[in-house]
Formats: sequence, structure tokens, C-alpha cells
Amino acid sequence: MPGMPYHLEKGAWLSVLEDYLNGDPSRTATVLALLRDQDLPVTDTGFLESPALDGDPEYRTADARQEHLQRDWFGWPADGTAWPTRPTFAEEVLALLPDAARPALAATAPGVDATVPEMRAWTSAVAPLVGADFDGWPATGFWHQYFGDVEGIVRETLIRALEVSLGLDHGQELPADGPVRRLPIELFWKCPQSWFEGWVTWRYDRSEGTGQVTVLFTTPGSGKPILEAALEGEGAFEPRTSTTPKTGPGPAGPAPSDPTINADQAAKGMWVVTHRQNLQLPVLPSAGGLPSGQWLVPPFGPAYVGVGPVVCVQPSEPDGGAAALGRIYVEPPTSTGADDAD
Amino acid sequence: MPTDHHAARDACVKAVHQDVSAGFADLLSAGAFSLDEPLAEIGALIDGDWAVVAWRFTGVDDLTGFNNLWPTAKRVTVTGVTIVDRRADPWLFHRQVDWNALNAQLGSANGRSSSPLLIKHPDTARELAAWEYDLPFPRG
Repeated sequence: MPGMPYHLEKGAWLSVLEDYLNGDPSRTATVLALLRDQDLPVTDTGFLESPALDGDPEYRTADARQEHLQRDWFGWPADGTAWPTRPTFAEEVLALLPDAARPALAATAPGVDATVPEMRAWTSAVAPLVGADFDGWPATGFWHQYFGDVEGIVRETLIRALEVSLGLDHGQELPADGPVRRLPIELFWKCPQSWFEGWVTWRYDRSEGTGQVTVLFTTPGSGKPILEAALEGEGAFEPRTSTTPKTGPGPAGPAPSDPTINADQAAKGMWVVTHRQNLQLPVLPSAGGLPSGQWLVPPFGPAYVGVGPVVCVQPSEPDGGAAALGRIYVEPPTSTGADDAD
Repeated sequence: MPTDHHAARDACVKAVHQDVSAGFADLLSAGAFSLDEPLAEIGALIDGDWAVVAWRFTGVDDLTGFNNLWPTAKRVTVTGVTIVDRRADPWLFHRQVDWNALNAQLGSANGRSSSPLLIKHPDTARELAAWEYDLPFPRG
């Protein structure tokens, strides 16, 4: 998933991942178990090995695809550091500081369990001491001005999506006789925004046993420009129909489930998976006077660091979330002739 | 007839021209430097060891890209004011650049702010700010 010229992307990678999640029921259960295994990298959960992705000219092999996700999305170091050892935010900051500033700040460096006040205080102490080589706060992978546990967010988002699809409570084991339902999962990637989130939304028709789980990875930018003219995209055209002249089978999703055995499932849902708080980092001071030709272009706009654990949050309907039973459309009262005459 | 003051102005303008051109050499192709208002006519405002030059630099964003952004192929204009510290050897250049205007030209503004707490009305922001910075609330 190297980046898109539009604000919304599915592309080959998410199409294959969708089919991986929606296809064989036993595979779905296996993927859920693999994702729940926190000792296993997300990139080792299988779908990247599919030859269906070999057509991507930049990532023709499973190794190349794994490396891309690990490095550009999840921020693994390029030096071959083994998972899950990744430098923390504070470690990356310290590495960029002048030698003289490092010892005092290293002593108070916040770890992965730091609180927001601790991280705010530490970064506020760092900002005035950065040197001319510090051209911005560290970022995770290719995400613009954002540092966070992207792998953790992606993992939790996919776990939640699979659990909703299968009608499981969070962490619940699959029943021995199989899940109460399987809703098809659809995946999208939307950018840019200031920090990384995974959204899990769904609808479920209680009477028909049909529905869908829609996942959106909403992310900071990766630096790639957005097309101002949608038709300039490679192979883009103005469609007139949703039918296709192409023949052959498409990916098959789950069949409608039996509404009688999972009647308690919410008709609608909308969850967001992200860090407990996304903390805005202090603006770095200007470089001051520099010799001719020695320039430092500052970061444009704010930078954020994810603080605290990855959490799954259900926004309320007044804040834009979805009510569990949705809302039924009510016809407006019909007007009377007398009103019309007025 | 050129005076020492004129020569000093010319030297400052030339130095800033070189500095700005070098600063954008890897970022903007086909670059053009010019003096900007309100100092365009005099070139440099000099007071003792200090000189001020207002400038603009126009070029095409088709090289390495700014700030880890991919290049856009857009022609953009960057404006700035440089304060030259002539006490130092070599001179030092304090550049006040309108990076926000450049950011807008690159199309990378996204139009939302962030707040640590839920704000649904401006009064909420005023109350939060009063708590955070010990300001009066409600404001008089």
C-alpha cells in the first residue's frame, strides 16, 4: 500500500486482504487467532504471501511487501532490527539531539507507558534544546508528522472487525460449532489527517441476516500528492453503470446469516481504534541565524505523538457515532389543503 | 554616483540573493529571485551591523519536494524577510519565511484544528483556556 493519488483507496492490497478475510470460513478464524497473538507480527498473518499481489510492480514478492509494510507503515528500522524491538519515540528524539543535550533528557525520557503530562513536559523540555540538525519530530514510517503504534492500531482494528463480522464479543473464543454469523468485511484507506486511526463500522439487518462490516484506515499523509483532477488517475474514466463487461467469478463473501441465532447483534455500529490520546508536539524554535546557503525548512503544520495504549472507542450519536439500532426514517406529516392555501 | 551606503545595500542584496538561491537550489527549479515590498526600491534597510532585505523567490516544485512531500510540479512563490547579521564572519542570515503561504500553494492545508477536550461552542474553548492559562472567565 504505497500511497494513493486520491483521498480514498482500496487498491489491490486491500482487495486481496478483504478476500482473505471473507473467503474460507476456517481461514477467517485462523487469521483472527493469528492477529490476537501479540507475539506475531501483523505482517506474518498471511495475506502478503498471496501471488495475487505479485502484479504490484513495486512489490512483486512477499518479502518486498512485508518489508514495505514493516518499514513504511509500522516504522520498523531499516537497519534490520528484529520485531518487536522498535525505538520508542523518546529514543528516536534522543538520537537526533546534540550530544550536550542528551544526558539530562535521557534521564527523564518517557517510555511507552508514559502519561500525557509526562510526555508533554518532556517534549516541552526538548524543544528549546534541539540543534540545527533537528528538522522535525520523529515520525513512524512514511507517515507525515505522526509517531505512534501503527501496527498496534492496525492489529486491533482488524481484530475488532473480525469479531464484529463473526458476532463475537471482544476476546471471545469462537464457539465450537462455529460463529453465529459472518458478515462480509470491506476495507478502505483514507488520508490525510493528523494521526492514525482505524474505524470499524457495520450494519446488520436483523430480519434478513445480511449486513456488512466496513473498515477505514484513516491516516496521516504519506507525502504523495492528491490528484486535483480525478479523471487524471491512471485508467480513470466516468462510469455509466455498475455492471462490467468482464466475465468470470469475483471474490465471494459470506452468505446471509441466520437472524434467529444472533438476534442481539446491534444493527449499526461505529468504533474508532487509536491511541488513548494523540498529543500535539511543541512547535520547534526557528533555527536562528545561519551561514549563507545553510537552510532548514521547518515542518508544515502540527506534529503528533500517540500516547497511552491503543483503545477502541464508540463515539456517541450526537458526536457523529451510530446508535445501536440506527434511526428509522419517519415520514413527514402530510400537509393539508388549508395550509397550502395560506 | 554610487556611495558607500549604496555599495553596502548592494552587497547585502547580493548576499541575500545568493543565500536564498542556495537555500532553494534543491527544492525549486527555474528559480527567480526578486526584491519585495516595501523595501523593493531601496533593496536593503541598513542600521549599523544589521541589514533587512524583503524578497520573493519563484520556482517550480519539481525537485526533491518540501518537507518530505512529493514534488507537485506547481510553480510557487516563497516570500520572506532576511535579517543579516554583519557582525559575524561569515555573515549570518536570520530568515523569516512565509512557510504557511508556501504550504497553501502546495495544497497541503487540511482545515481542521485539534483540542484535548470536546469543544462544541466557542465558550467551551474560552472556559478551557481560562482553566489552562489562568485567564478570566467569562471574559469582560
